[in-house]
Amino acid sequence: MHSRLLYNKTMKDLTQIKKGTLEYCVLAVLAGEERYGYEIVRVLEEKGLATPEGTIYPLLTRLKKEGMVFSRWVEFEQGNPRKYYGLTDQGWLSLRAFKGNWELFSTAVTDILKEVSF
Amino acid sequence: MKPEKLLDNYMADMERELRGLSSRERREALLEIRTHILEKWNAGGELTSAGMLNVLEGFGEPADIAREYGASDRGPGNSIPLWLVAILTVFLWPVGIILAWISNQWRTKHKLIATLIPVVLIALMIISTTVTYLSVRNELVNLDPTEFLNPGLGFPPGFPSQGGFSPSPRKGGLIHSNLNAVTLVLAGFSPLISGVYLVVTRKKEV
Repeated sequence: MHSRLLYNKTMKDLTQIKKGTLEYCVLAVLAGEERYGYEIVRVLEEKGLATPEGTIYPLLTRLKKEGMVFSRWVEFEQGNPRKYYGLTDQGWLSLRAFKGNWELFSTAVTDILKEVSF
Repeated sequence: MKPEKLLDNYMADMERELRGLSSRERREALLEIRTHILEKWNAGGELTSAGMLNVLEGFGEPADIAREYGASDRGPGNSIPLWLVAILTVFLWPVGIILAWISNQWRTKHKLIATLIPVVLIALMIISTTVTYLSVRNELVNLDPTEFLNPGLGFPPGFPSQGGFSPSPRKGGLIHSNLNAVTLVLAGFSPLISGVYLVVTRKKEV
């Protein structure tokens, strides 16, 4: 395979992995406190997980439909109202299940990659 | 262009792209997105058009975001394979179209059009045949009643093969019969058209 194609494929696979884990990262960010969209993006960015910002809203909508998060509008004296999101019980359960499995999985992958030297 | 105008244009694009959502979902999403963009713009400290462009670029293309919304409604409906819906729509229309409605692979607009195609075409056929029937009957009624074997019916038994009455070819009749043939064919093929329409209009997802 041409090296550029190979590179593209690798990037695509990584994107898939990121995409699959992003929703759990969002749940994790919401675990401590209720937050609104812009805040969630900022926390993720601070941790080095940059995403195209706009995609956070479709993701939150889906998580809400799946019953993982709830949302409520909060009015402020100044500025626009904000939509805050928080974890539901189901969201907590899902996050806990993911955390346990992710630790096993990521440790295994790290171990396997450790064996490789270039 | 002024920053406000840039934002308005962007939001108009977004609104157009999100038309697949329910009106409530769309309204909330638009408000949320607008607030987000304004907050980031204000936080950036660069309250210029260039600053706004940066923020908008970072937020993403409306079409991409809309696609994420579309891809996000993963329901049981998505598990119905397209080929099954298409084949059933063509050969067993009512079943196929019900599956299409259950599925979320189509926008409501497209589901509605796919449903209406056969309904409208069959209605057209019925209207066209009825009009022909009525106009032929009127012509017959207006003709000399003594030519008919059974004048009371206004329509001769065995018409037009029986002798005694040979209608001169009329232009109107020809147009009618051609129109009838076309609507009949269209109505006959309407499940096929409906099926093809569904295949073509399925949501394009990742």
